[in-house]
Amino acid sequence: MKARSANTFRCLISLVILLGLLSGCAPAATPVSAPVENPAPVQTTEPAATTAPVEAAPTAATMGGGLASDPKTLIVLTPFDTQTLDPAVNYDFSGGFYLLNCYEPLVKAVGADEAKLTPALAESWEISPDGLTYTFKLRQGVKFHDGTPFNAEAVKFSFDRLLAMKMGAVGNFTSIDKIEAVDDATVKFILKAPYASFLLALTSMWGPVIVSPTAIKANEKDGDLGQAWLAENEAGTGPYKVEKWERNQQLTLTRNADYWGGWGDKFLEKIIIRFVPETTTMRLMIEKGDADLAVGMTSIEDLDALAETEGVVVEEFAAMSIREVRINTTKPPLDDAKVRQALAYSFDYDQAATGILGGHAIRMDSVTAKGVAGYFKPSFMYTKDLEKAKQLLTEAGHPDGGFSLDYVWLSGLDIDRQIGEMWQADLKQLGIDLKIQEMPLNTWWEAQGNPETAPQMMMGQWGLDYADATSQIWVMYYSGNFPPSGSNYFYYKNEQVDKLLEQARVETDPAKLDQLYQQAVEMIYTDSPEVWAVQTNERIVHRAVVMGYTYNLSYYKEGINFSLMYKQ
Amino acid sequence: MIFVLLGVSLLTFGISHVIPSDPARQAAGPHATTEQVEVLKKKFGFDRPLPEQYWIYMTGLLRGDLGFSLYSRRPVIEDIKAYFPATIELTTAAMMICLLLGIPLGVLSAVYKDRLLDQISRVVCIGGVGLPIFWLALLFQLVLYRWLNWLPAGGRIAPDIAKPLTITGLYIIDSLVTGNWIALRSSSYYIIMPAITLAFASVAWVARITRSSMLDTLGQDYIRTARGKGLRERQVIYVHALRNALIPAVTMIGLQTGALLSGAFLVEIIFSWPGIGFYTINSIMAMDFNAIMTTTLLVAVVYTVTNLIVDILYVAIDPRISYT
Repeated sequence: MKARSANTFRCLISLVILLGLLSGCAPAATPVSAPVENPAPVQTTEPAATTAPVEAAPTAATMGGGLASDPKTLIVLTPFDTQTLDPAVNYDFSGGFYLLNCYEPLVKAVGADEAKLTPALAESWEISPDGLTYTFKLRQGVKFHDGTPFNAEAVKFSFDRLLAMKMGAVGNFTSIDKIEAVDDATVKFILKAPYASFLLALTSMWGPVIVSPTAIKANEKDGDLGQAWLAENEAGTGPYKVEKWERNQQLTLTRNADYWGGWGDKFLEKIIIRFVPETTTMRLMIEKGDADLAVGMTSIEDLDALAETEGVVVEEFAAMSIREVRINTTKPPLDDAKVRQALAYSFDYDQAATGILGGHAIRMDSVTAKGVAGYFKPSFMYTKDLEKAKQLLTEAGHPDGGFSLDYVWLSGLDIDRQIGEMWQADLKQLGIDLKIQEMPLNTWWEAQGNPETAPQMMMGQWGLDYADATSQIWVMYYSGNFPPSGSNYFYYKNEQVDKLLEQARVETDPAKLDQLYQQAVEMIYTDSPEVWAVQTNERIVHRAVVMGYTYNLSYYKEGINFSLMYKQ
Repeated sequence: MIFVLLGVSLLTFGISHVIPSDPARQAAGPHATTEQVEVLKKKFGFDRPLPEQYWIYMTGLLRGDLGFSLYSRRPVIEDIKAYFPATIELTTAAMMICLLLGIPLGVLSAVYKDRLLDQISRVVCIGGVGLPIFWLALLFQLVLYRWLNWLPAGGRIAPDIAKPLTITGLYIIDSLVTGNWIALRSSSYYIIMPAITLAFASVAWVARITRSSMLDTLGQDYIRTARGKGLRERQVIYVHALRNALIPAVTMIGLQTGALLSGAFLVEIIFSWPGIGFYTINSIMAMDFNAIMTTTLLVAVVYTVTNLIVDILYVAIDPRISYT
């Protein structure tokens, strides 16, 4: 009896282990189960025109699945929710889909490779010769979702509110002195000093959108400018309205049938954004067809697997985000530009882009991302050349290296650790010992605050608020912008660069401006206060039946224009 | 119990403040101005000395003011009200599974020792104790959702069904109370997989303890006497043996509350369950002190209260035990 029961036990255990192993292999080996197109929607659900709960047989398909087969509803998955719906406060790099679909700015930037200014709520604009006054002619016949008319008063109100609250991305708009509503259809912005990037700043997702003054005033409490109300409600002019928001669960948008842009015969009635923190779950839902679009998937394997799946499309675009190794230029031997240049010549840019990031990035060839204002190509390019690096080190007095450097990567960004390990091997050949260290974001913020405690080197990421890198150049490379108030994490100071940047701030002639930035970029690139590694791509996944998806460089993956999309 | 809570609060406060960090800066964002950061710092009292910050927090607690969350920009109590019921619902469901499955499984394994049922239960228990919970979760998701299409991948309720009127925040209870059968059906469906995943390990522990405790008890003299007296086997097992065997099982269940609460954090992420787990993880990443203190204390409270109930249950189960 004992022998038999032991046998049974072993059999059962083996079965479990086998099941476990099979499940490990399965996702890659599973034959394509989804047909090329979704089958005709099973008519157990009512069309989504009504908002009444659906009376349907409780199969797992309708329990959250049936909606994906509804051609008018789009199910979007994303990992993180946003924390507030108030566009003057919101500065979260996640969950911000509603920002551009429910609210609109005066001007928008459009384009997948480059940003082009396009009229939105403003039809046309004029800039005064001294660069201080911007006059906008506003679009007529636009209404807010609450029915009240859009006019110059609303524009003035929205910007006054943004500037008064001093939250979110207000730092991008402090150049504004005052706003004047000349008449219903004309509004003037008067700046404190000429600011060449002002129009681009007005295209940003965060801040410069127009909210309904009537709605705010009706819901104001104790002079809070409607903050408490607008954090959970919406009062814009855009093609979609917020129907409901369950924090960390879902955000539902419904179509604004009266949108001034009008609608063709193909559109989406409802957008349901679900917050799914686990990337594997997102993958399973897309494969199965229970979701239509997934944004923010981080697992390279899952994305690669989905790219091979029939019925699923993975779109890839270069984003305005860069990864760069920030060097503390106050700490010897890093205070010597030759040493920094040697480091720039020792980094394997191609391996980082194609090997570690799997080809989903391009190597950088300047101080900023490509495709944005402020991108200028220097006269040379750093490439991995250990001979040259050694030569520079010798000139700097370190022929055999002989020192160690700290390389900090932020917790959760494993890619940065891998890049560090790759670099470590190369630096060893130069006699430099790279000490790879992990740090949580918060700890790094604290350490970065002063040049003594800031790490020698740190792998950082930078994303632009709008398609203009001149802002990055100013906050990072101008010597007046040391932390904690600025982002010159390298404590870099070059007086000539400072002068060029100061001039550029107030220059109004576009040709002269380009010249100034070209010169500044050349100098900064040569000084190498950073090693500019890669510009990363964004990948979005959607089912093949989803049409009309367009990537917008200026708005990252969050800036999906749902009004251009429909399902076959 | 008060001392336990005080100790927990001091420890949490100490640890979270010892780690060098700048939560105000992080909350304001990388592109924020120094001004904005200073305003936030003042608002949250980060410029005050540590003991004062602790005092402010604890006295606020007594008043019912749990502080303001840097991360979600609203009072922590609002966040707790929004997310805690979801975790309670999940943990309670898991606890029920643990009771309704674990104890009978243990009893039957003891009664049918070495037979097929016992073998299966041994395998299940080893699995439950040994397999990591997130792996189990992903496995269930793959098999039950992706392959078999029996259960949904995540969430609390179907996206097109409105949640029931909020009375307790527990969807199943709220829909029962308001007679909302559609919501009841949907939320029951959605809770099955996360609850089973969460309960798996606890069922294993409870079943094993019950089994060994039952075996112990069944070997006692008075059981032989009862059988000798001619009592039906069922009576022997359930009336005489089980009650005595239950004490270790009940202890284990009390201890499992802690395991269930911590397991809930992982299960919530995988099944997109909007509970306190995910909220706490984000708060820790953001060094949101008020949120961290509150959630830690909350978990400590739940744990101590549950074990208090266990202690009381002892008296009910075994009249020989008393606390006088």
